[in-house]
This record gives sequence, structure tokens and C-alpha cells, in this order.
Amino acid sequence: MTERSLVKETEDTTGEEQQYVTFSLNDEEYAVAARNVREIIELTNITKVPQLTEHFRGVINLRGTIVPVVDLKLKFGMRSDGYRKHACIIVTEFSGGIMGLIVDAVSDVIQIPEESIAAPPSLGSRIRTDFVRGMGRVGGDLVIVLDVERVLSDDEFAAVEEAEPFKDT
Amino acid sequence: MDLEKLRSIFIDEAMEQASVFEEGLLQIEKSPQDKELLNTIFRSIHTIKGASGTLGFTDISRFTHVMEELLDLMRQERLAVERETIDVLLRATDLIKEMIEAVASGSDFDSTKCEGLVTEMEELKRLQTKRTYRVLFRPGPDLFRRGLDPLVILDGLREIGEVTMRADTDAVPPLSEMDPEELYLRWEMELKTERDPAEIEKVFEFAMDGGDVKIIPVEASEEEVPLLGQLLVEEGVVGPEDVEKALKSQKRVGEILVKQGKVSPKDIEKVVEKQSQRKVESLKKSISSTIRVDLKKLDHLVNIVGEMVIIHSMLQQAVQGNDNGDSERTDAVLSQLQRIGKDIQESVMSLRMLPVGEVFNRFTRLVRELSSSKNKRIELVITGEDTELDKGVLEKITDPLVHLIRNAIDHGIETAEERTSRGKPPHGTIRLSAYQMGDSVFIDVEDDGRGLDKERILNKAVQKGIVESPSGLTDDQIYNLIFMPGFSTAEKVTDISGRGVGMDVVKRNIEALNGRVFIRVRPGEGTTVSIKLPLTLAIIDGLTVLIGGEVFVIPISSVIESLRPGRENVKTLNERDEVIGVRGEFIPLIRLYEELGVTPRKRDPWKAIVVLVSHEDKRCCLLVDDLIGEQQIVIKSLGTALPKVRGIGGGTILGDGRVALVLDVPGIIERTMRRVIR
Repeated sequence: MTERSLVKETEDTTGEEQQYVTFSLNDEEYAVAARNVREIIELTNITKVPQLTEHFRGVINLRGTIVPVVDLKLKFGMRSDGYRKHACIIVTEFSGGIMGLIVDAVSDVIQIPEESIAAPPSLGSRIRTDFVRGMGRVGGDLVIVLDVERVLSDDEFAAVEEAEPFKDT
Repeated sequence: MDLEKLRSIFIDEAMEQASVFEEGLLQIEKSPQDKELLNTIFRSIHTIKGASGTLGFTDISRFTHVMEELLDLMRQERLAVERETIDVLLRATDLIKEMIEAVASGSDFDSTKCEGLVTEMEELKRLQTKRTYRVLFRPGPDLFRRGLDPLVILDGLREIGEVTMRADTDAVPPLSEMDPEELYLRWEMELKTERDPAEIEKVFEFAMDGGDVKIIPVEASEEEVPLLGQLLVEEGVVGPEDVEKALKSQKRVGEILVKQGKVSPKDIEKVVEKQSQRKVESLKKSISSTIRVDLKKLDHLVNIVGEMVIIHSMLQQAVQGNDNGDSERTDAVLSQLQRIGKDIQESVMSLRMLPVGEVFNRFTRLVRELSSSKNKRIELVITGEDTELDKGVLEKITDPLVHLIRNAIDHGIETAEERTSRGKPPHGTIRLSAYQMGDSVFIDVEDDGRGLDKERILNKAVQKGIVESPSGLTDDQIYNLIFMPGFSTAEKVTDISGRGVGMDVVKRNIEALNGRVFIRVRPGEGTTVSIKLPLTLAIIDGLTVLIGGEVFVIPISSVIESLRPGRENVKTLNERDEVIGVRGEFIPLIRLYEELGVTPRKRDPWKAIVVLVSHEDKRCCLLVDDLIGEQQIVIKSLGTALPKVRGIGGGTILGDGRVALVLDVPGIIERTMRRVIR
């Protein structure tokens, strides 16, 4: 059982080829390290949880465990017009726990050698650069490699502040 | 296996063995003759010693070694099983636990802490060690002539220990050759004494000349009567080979009996078979019938099984949708599946159940120590220790129980003089009993003390402003005042209780487990506190309600009733806070949709439903769109990655596989109350 594998991937994998799960958000291709991915499931019934920021869609039942889900497009401030036919949830693990990411479609599981990941561009990207580990070159295409840890940890804090507008002193 | 894993196994096992050891000590005090128990105790300390030695925890292994030696002496009956010895060993157990905890937390243990106890144990060993010696006394033949009387010497031996002796008359010559002034006798003695050989030798001080005294310590195992053959060889009567030959020709009891025609060979065979069966059984008994399982694995299993039950109901719904003519058979199979599913679920839940004895037995020691520190004689009687409770509940019940028992010892049970003057037996009794009734487990703490003092409780309550006037309260209401925050009747603060955090904490802790506390007082005769607990922590009854198209669950334990108020009963205070009149009483209204931040279907209370809930003594009306029904639910966490949401205590999975949020009623009420007061 090696599914628990949340380690800071930036440090101990240099030089190694790593597996990534690629997926699409609107017309862009993204990738997350496969070691952060626990499983990929179909879009299922989501129960709304009040008070949270919009991109927190709610919680789902993952075989008896309740897992919160985030709409990545909303999180990244992208245009979102309902879920598409192939939309699914990538269940990821990070240091803060388990989180589901709603994406438009999962494309592939690929190897991206560390040396083909270039530093993130400082300009021109729609999403915050600190979420991006780099730009991966796969064949002739470019994928945006996300740092799951940063994407999700950011949410943790942002949402906590958001969730306590009620100050009772 | 890596060291870390070994270490955590060690911690678990050592802690368990330490508890076994402690419980055993407490029991052996009551039945000092129980050899088997003594062996169990010995084994548990030996296990800790061995394991700690292997893993290099030298402090623990050295310390347990001393304890082991002490116990070994007890096993050999060279050290009496006495209160003082047990006291020392109990304190040593505490220290071992401390050391194990230090290993667990990775902190340093100050090994000088052991020194005091080690010295005490060594002292015990030295002082109370009774050893058996074989003393061979061959006085010189001129003993009489030197004016010594062997009888005096032998009496001297009797003074220092228990002696059994045998005079050896082999050397006595026939009467005609005997010189009356010469001593022909030799003595062989067995001496049980605490003294060491040097001191024994002193008894023979004057008889040594010309004679011979041998003092041979006898090891415990040899203390049993030596085999005949062995003795014969020792005495030089026959050689070892002769004995062996004789042994070979010796027949078994069975064979002899057959030869004598008393039994048939078949009978013997049968009995022999039975004998071997018994051997197997006793062997089986010595192998533990339990296995240790990581709680996480169990919880995982509980989850999977819960999911299976849900999928079953989904399957049922799906099948009912497409009627293909063979529905009767499908129904039969489905209901069979449901039954099996339920069985599995129940047995999985039962895996989390532990006998309450695990916790109860710890209290024997508590009572023993607290009562002697209070100079009271109190016996703890435990019943129903096999009653099972969910592990989670059991863990959280320990502290409240400690508190109740302390209260009984401190306030409940009187001193021996006071008891005698009231015609009660001088020693008090605390009964700790557990039993199951329906879906609940009851734990009663009953003492035969003085009961609660109504007057004093009332005075105190008035003085502390808990009640306004002492009149108009029923006895029950008065007794229940002790559960109010900040109430403590102890006139002087003792180390045991009376710190002001008392019964209210007990009550809160029990209520957090969805349990309830009752108190029954028999003035002058005793007090009984009953705790009622749900069988499992995880499953609760929930009221499902609709708010803004989403299902929410309100734990039934906090629900009083649900109603649709008349329009005229909804009032506003200060143009801001709303109240609802329920039978002449005005109760604050909380619009749950506002509290949660969802869009409701109904905003007017007279069109919707209000659920009257309570937390402690505060009551509120929760406005919901509609009621759905009641069902048993398993409360789950919403996941660590989700921030805490106001008003939501967790989630649960409904029969259709969807997640429903469970409302945090105490949180909602408390927040509203604060807002209203402000």
C-alpha cells in the first residue's frame, strides 16, 4: 500500500522522471504529480456547504469518507459554464488532508522528465504563478504543471478567513 | 521491520503488560495463594524486561530486572505477598509507565527517579528473603567432653528460623561398644530463615572444632523432594547406571494395573487419549485468544461496510425502477442481501466494543489509595465488567468516573467512627456496576455513605446565585443543582475533590457522548449516580430537515419538539430579535438559513416548521423549511482540508449515498445567546 505518498515533490525527485496526471480546464492542459493523486472518479452528487468561497463546491461521499471538492476553474478565476460531459473529480492528497479537484476531463498519465519542466513564466499566465511548478514540454505541447501542495494549502487559509465573517467579541 | 515500528509495538505491548501487572498485583493482594496469578504477573514484568532489553531501553530493563527478582522471590515463597511489598511494586509500576511514556514521547527520562524505589526493593529483598538451607551438622565426638550440649545448639537454630531435623544414628555403635561420653549422632536439617549463611554458622561457633558444619543453600526447584534414584546416587549407595537400569525396568501405572487385571488395555487407551486432549486444551488456553488490530484498520472496515449498506439500498432503488417480471425473486435476493449486510455491519461495529472491565479494574487501585489517604476503609465492588461499550465512549468515560468515585470517597462515605455511630458497618462500599438496557448502557456509581445534604446544597446554590430563592424546588431539582457550573459543596478544598470544577464537568462530558446523568439520593444511606450511554459513539439518532433544498440533520438528543407556530405567536423584541411563544413561554427564534447562509424556500415561521431544541438549560427555536423524518446516522468529519463552518458539526451519509450536513446545535445556541445578550 503505497498510496499515501504526500511528500514535497520538488525536493527528492530531482533527476528522476515523474509521472503526472494531465487534465483540461477549458482549453488548457494542466498536470499534477501522480503521487498526489489518490484516484479519479466521475462527477457525483455534491452536497453544498454554506459560507465557503465559491470555488468550494461542497462535499462528496467517497466510499464512506466525506471529501471536500474544489472547482479548479473557479479557483483559478477561469470562465466556468457548468460541468461538461467528461467532467470528473481528481481526488488528491496533500499535507492538509484529502481534496477533490473538479476538472473538465482527465487526459492521460504521462512521464515528464524533470529537465523538460521549465520555470513558470512571470507574465502571461492566467493563474497565480506560485501555484505553478513550471511549464512541461510534452512532445510539441505545453502543459502547466501545478504544485498541488501550494494550490490546496492556499485554499485552507483563504477559506478559513472567509468562513469567519462573524466576529463575536 | 524498521526500528520505529518496533518501538511503537514495544510501547503498546509494554503498556498493556504494565496494566496486566498492575491489575494482577491488586488481585494477588486479595488471594496471595494464587500461584497461577503470581506467574502471570511475573511473566508480564518479564516480557517488559525482555522487550526493553532487546530495544536498548536499559533504564527500563534494569529497573524491571529488580522488580522481577522481587517477584521471583515471591514465586519461590521466599518473600511474603504483603501489602508493603505490593505497595512498592505498584509504585514501581507507575514509574515503568512513566518510562514507557517517555519512550513514546521521545523525551528523556530522569533515571535518578528510579533510585529510591530500587533501594526500597533491594531492601525488601534483603530483609524478607527467606531461604532454605540444608544444614549438615557432624559434631566432633568430643562435644560432650568440651561441655557443650548439642540440644542447645539445635534450639539456637530454632530461634532463627523454621527447622525440620533428622538425627542420623548410623554411627551409633552397639551398646556394648558405646562410650557414653562420646557423641555418635549427626544431624541433617532443613532450615528456612532470613539470615545469611554466616549468621547460621555463628550458632555452631563452639561446635566447629573437631566437627563439621555444612550449610548448603537449597534452590527453590530443588526444594521439592528429590527423586529416590537421585538420593541413592548422592548417598553413594548405588551408581547412576544402576538407577537408570532400574528406571527402564520400571513399569507405568497403567501397565501394572492391566497386569493386575484391574483395568483393560482399552480403558487405559481411552484415558490416555483424554489426557492428551487435556494437554492440548491447556496449551490452547495459554495461547491468547485475542489479536491486536490497529484501530485505523477497524475504522476503515466500518466505513467500507457502511458504504456497502448504502450501495445495497441504491441497488434496491435501481432494481425497483425497472420491473422485468421477475421481481419476486429479485426482492427475495435483495432482502437476503440486506440481512447479511446488516449482520456484517453489526459484527463490525461490535469489533469496536470493549468490556468496561478494562477501565473498571483501574479503579480498584484508585479506591485503595484514596481511601487510605483519607483514613477511610472503603471496598470497591465491581459488577458487570463484561458489559461492552464502544472504545471511543469507554475512553471518554474514564475521567468522569474517576471524578464520581473520588466524590464518593471524599464526600459520600463517612469515617469509620461516624459510620459505627450510625449503626452502619465501619467500612464503606462503593459499587461500580455496568449493565445494558435496550440501546443504552448504564453505569452506576453507588455508595453507602451519608447521601447528599439538601439544606447545604440549597444554601450554597442561593449563595452562589444559582437559584434565587430556596423555596419551591422539588428534592430532585435540588439534587440536580450539583450539576450546575461552579457548584461545589465541599467545605474545605481537599486534594481529592472540591476544586469547584466538579459535577458540571462530569455532566458536560457525558452529554458530549450523547449520554445522560441521573442522581438518586437515599438520605443517610447513600447516593447513586447513574450514567446512561449510547451503545456506540458513532451512531446517533438524527432528525432530517430541509433548508433551501438541502438536507440537514439535527441530533435528536437536543430536540424537544417540532411545531408550526401560529402567526400571532411570532414576536419581535427591540425590533431585532425574534421570539416564538410556545405555551406561554417566549423562546428565541433562530432563522437557520441566515445562520448558515443559504437561501430558504420559506421565510415565514407560520408557513414553515420550527424545531425546539435545547442545550444545557438554554432553549431555542430553529426555523427550517420542512421536516423529512428520523433516522440513525453515523457522524463523520467533513475532512481536514475543509475549513470549519459555522453551525455545522460534521456530515453523514444518507441512504441514497449523498452527504448531509449535521448541525452543531450547542454552537448555534451559544452564539445566538451571546448575540442576544449583547
